Parts: sequence; structure tokens; C-alpha cells
Amino acid sequence: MITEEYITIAAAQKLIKEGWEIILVHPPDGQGPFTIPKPPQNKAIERASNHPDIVAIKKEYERIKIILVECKVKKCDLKEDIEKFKNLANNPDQLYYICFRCQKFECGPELGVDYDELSTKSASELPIEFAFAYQENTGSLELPTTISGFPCQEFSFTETEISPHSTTSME
Amino acid sequence: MHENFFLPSELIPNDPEYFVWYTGTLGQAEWLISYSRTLRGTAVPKECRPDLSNVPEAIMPLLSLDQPDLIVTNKKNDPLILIEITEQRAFGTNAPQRVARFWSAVANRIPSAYILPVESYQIEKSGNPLKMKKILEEQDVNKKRFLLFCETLLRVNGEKTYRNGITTIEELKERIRRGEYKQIAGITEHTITQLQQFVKKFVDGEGETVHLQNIPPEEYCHRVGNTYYRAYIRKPEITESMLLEWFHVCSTVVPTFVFKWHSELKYLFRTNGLTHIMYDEENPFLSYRNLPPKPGQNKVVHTFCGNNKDEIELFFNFVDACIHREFSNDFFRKKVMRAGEYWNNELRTRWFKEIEDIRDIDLVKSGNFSCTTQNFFDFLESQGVEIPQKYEDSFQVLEKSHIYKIFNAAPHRGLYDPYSGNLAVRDILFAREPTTIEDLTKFTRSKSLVFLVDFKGESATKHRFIYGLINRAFTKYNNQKDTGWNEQEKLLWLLKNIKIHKFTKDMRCHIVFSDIILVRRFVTPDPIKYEVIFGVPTLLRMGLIDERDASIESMRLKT
Repeated sequence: MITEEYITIAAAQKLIKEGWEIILVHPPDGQGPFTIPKPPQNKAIERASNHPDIVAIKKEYERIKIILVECKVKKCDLKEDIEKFKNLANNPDQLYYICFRCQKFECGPELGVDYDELSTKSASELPIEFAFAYQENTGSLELPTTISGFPCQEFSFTETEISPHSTTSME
Repeated sequence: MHENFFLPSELIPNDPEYFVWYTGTLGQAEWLISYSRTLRGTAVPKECRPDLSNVPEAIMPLLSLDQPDLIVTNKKNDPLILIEITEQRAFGTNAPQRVARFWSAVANRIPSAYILPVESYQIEKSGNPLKMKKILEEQDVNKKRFLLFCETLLRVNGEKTYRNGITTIEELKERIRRGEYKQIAGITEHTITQLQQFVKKFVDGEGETVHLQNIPPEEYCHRVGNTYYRAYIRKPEITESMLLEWFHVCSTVVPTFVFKWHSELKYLFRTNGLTHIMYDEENPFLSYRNLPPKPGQNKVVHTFCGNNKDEIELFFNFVDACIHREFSNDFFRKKVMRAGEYWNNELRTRWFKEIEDIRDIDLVKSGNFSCTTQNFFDFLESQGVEIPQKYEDSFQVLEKSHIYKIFNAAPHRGLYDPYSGNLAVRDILFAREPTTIEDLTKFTRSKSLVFLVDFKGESATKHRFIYGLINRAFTKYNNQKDTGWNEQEKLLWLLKNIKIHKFTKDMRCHIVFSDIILVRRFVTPDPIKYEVIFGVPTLLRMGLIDERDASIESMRLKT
């Protein structure tokens, strides 16, 4: 049986092949340190932060960009994730926060955004992308190609591609 | 068929010698199996269903109060070690709330291990944005750097210190090393030692323990949108020191060890410094699953006793030793947990407040107090709370009481976490002598433990803890109607007849660990309404329940 974790790993592997560096993966039901604080919530039960399934970073033609990925086994189950990304894309504080957490600094990782420079830009200019990942042929749902002006991709995987043992050299 | 396993088929035995029962993620179970010399190729993961319906009776006592992430058993389902892994920073209630899981292991003399960030980097909104704004807007680059460095230290007022004539970071560090505190604003003769220790550990990196590297001044504060965020080192304080001491004390019964998940400055912003396995060439099936580091991936953080292994490697050595029942109570691990390495002994004085007048508990919303038991019962009497004499008499042997007071104004917020674990911490640290923790389920008390809950606002009329919860459980499990019993009598029936895990989590540990549960409902302008329940320690002491009763028996492994 395919679970969401299989999709998450397949999506991470795809990103690696495309030259992205994975910052973190937040497995279903697991813990994850990359939390994006949300504005104060009305409902006490709603989570006070967003935990994207994958956050990755990539340098492309001297430009560094960040991608956030949400994963589900079934494409039709991504409805709430679309809303989640829409809310996030319309919240400048959250967008700046993502860049803040992916910044380059003296003792930090090699790859990172210049946060001081980005913080002078308008939120709509931040180098953020979104993506949705799911198993092929699992329902119909129109996924956006942009969210509030930010590029949005979709990754669909066949059952063979999802197999956790179909690993290739990824570093 | 091994559905959903990520382990490759060559690592999945046809006839497993061991099982790794997991309540958290499959990834954690596979991580454990893959790096353990004993479990690799001989063990398979087994998921505990959320209702525990597939869990063998043989290990149920270890899940009776709360559910640990992993339990390793042999093929006869004899438990060998219990493991908890958390990347939540240990401050506040994050880590203690999980302690009831370990309590069951100690009670049954099963070794256990807790992997967690003992000290950690924390990124949070600044509580003083105006001050941060002013510092970040400082035009003098050197002064700005100095002010930010001061912010990374404990209690140092940078601006005033600068005005006092200390204007460079090096000069300030030198003054601190020499103990010259008079020109360091915010520091007194009482706090200079703490500041010296902080600088020694986190700035100068001295000693045989590798602590976290201090935040560079430039990274201390950032404006993010309309908010200022600060990054700082969170070192063990009151609750964390209690947690570490809890493990230290319990290790006198059976190895109950903490292992440090080390944080690196390099990953400060990405993961609060925590390192994970990203890609493991030897075990690609563990890649991209947010799992703890592999053995040898991190720095060696404890170099005393000639150690040259990192904490995860030491953890796996311990796991393998436990599986072979070859564990020993090692001095090395105790040194990590006890006062000295990560927490100061003086913190003990802040674990609770000794009070002579019980009314002092109402000076704060929540807290820990110690008073004479007589004072406590006099207080109840003065409030018109009637306690049957035989119950009160059972406290005569206990001169002192520890009161753990909490506050709630949200009726839908059940009192499960963090109180379950917090009570397990207090049971060991405050209500027993170290010599009486040999058999935890006997609840041999040196002090009584009082769980005092104040309900205010909507909770005063709506919260179901504790009578409402007992009534609900009694209705569920007892078919007799109109017994005419009060809640205490109903609880006695439940404890005699119901296994402890059947009690809901919002009252289970409270009943198990508290000698008395006292609820006060503040319904203005009415007088305060009280609910009083005597818990397991009292009922055992009075002989009203015993180890043959279902609830107590269900906490103990069959031998």
C-alpha cells in the first residue's frame, strides 16, 4: 500500500535529481523543526504554524530559490493543501519568514538566500515556489500553476517510481 | 508480506528474533533496526495500533500510562528496552510531559533511553521589539555588534555597559572571565558566576563537554516582516534540570538514560541547529525521512572518561547492551544527567517553594509548593471541605506535602499533557526518598503529592475534571444504575476492576500519582466549589486497593 511517506520521499528524490538541496522533510505524523508561524488563530484547535512536507533550496543562474512541497497519496486530497499554500502566499510575514529560515550566514550552510537583501524587497518578489506531489491517476483536481504570482508545480509519480528501493545516486 | 516497510528485503528476516514496536513513525523503528548491530537483519518493525488492540499483553504495562515511541522485544515479546525520541527543544513542558512513559519502564525494571536536545537553539519573537529595532538601527557598526553580543549573554544590559566604559566584545569577555562585574550592567555578585559559566561553556567552549556554540552577534536578531525574531541558546533551567535529575535518580533502579541530540550552529536557521540524516548512502531507505543522525555523524560532545564516540553511537551501544541484557549503570551517563554538566545544583532551590502559610499558594496562578500536611488539611477544613477521618488519618505518617498547582480557564482543554508527565516527575523527585523508588508501584511516600487544579472563567462550571470524568468512566464500565456511590467510591470500583490504560488520559496519571486531587471552581459570586479525590498512593496506603486489583496489576509486567 502506498502511503504519504512514499510520496514525500519520491518528491525529495525528484528534487535532488533536479539540483535542489533538501533543507528538511517533515514526515506524516512525525516531528519537524521547520515551522512557519501563522497569524493568531481563532480556533484553539487549529495549528499555530505551518509545517510544509518538504522545503528545498536551489541555485539557478545566480538566483537562489526556495520550494515548498505538500504531498498526498491521492491528488484529490490536495484540496486543503492548496488552501494552505494560498493563505501562506498571501501572508507577507510568513513568506519573509521562510526566506529568513533559509538564509546564508557566516557559519551556516553554503547555500542560502541573502536575507538582508530580500528583506528590502516586496513580498511578491521573494524567490519562493510551491509544488504538490501525488500518485498518478488518483483523482481529478485542478492544481494551480501559480499561487498569488508564485510558480507552482505538480509532481505525479507512478507506482514504480514511488518504490522506496528505486534509489539512485543522489548526492 | 511486509507491506509498507522501507527496509530492503535482505534486512527483513523470515523468522525475526526481535520486534520493534512503534507508536510514532515507522521511520524511527527502521532507523533503530538499521544502526543496531544486534537488530539489523534480525528484527522487524511492528506498529502499535492507536487503540493498542494488537499489542501483546506481555508489553501492555509499558504502554499503560502513556505510549513510548519504541519498545524492543524478543520473539517471545519480553521487553528489552524502551525508547523515546524527540526533537522538541527540552524547555518548558515539552520533555517532561513524556516522562510517564519512562515511569512505567522504571516500575518494571526495563531500561530506557531518551534522545532529545538537552540544550538547544531557540528562535522566537522578541519580547522587546522596540529595543531590537533600536539596536538594529544603531549606526556605529562596532557598537551595534557589541550590543548584539550583550543580548546573546544572560541579563547583560549592553547600552548601560557601553556607557560604563566597556565598549568592545573582547573587553567585556575579559571582565567576565576575571569576575569584574561592577561595570557590567545587569550583573551582580550573585549572577556573575552564572555569566562566567555561560561564557566558559558557550563562548569560549572550554571543558570536556562540547556545548552549543554561542549565536554570532550578527545573527542574534532579524526583522522578519513586521516582527523581530531573536535566536538564543536555551540551556537547561528549572523544568529541564528536574527532568535530568529524574533520569539520574531512576537510574539507581535500572538504566534510564538521556542521550543528547546535539545541535550545530550551521543549521541554526534551517532546523534550530538539529542535524538529521538527509541521505545515507549505506542505507538509502533511511534518506529524507527526518530521522535522527546516524552513529558517528555528529561531534563527540562528551570527552570525559576517555570517550571518543558521539551520543548516537553511545546510544546504539546502550541499545545493543540492553538487548543482550548486559547493561550496567555507567558512571559516564550519570555524569551527563546529574548536576554539574548541564545544570547547576542551585536550580534545586527553585524547583518548589517551601511555605509556612498555605494561603501563599494563591499568590501565583500555578507553581510548586511544599508545606506541612497538617497545614494543608487545616486549610481544607477552614474552607468547609469535609474529609472523612480515615482518609485524613492515613496522612499522619506524612509530615510534609508537595502541592503542584495548575490553572485552567479553557473548558475544552483536557488536563492530559503536560500534566501526566509532570506528575510522574513530581512523584519521583518530591514524594519519595531515593531509597523508596525500588518498587514504584508500591508508592512508598516520604511526602504526599497534591494535584491542585483551579478552574476559573468558563472552566469553573464546564470543565469535567475530576468528578465528571470519574462519573463518565463509571457509567461506561459499571452496568449498575443508581448505586448511590460518591465519586470516591466509584473510583475505588474502577481501580479494582478496570485496567489502568482504560482510564482516559485526561485523568489516568493524575489518579495514579496524586495522593489527593483537589479541584477548586471559582464561580463568582458563589463560594468556591471543591472536588476532592484520593488517588492511588493514598488508597494503597489505606489498604483500600492492592496489587491484585486490575488497575495496579495492569501496570506490572508478568514475571
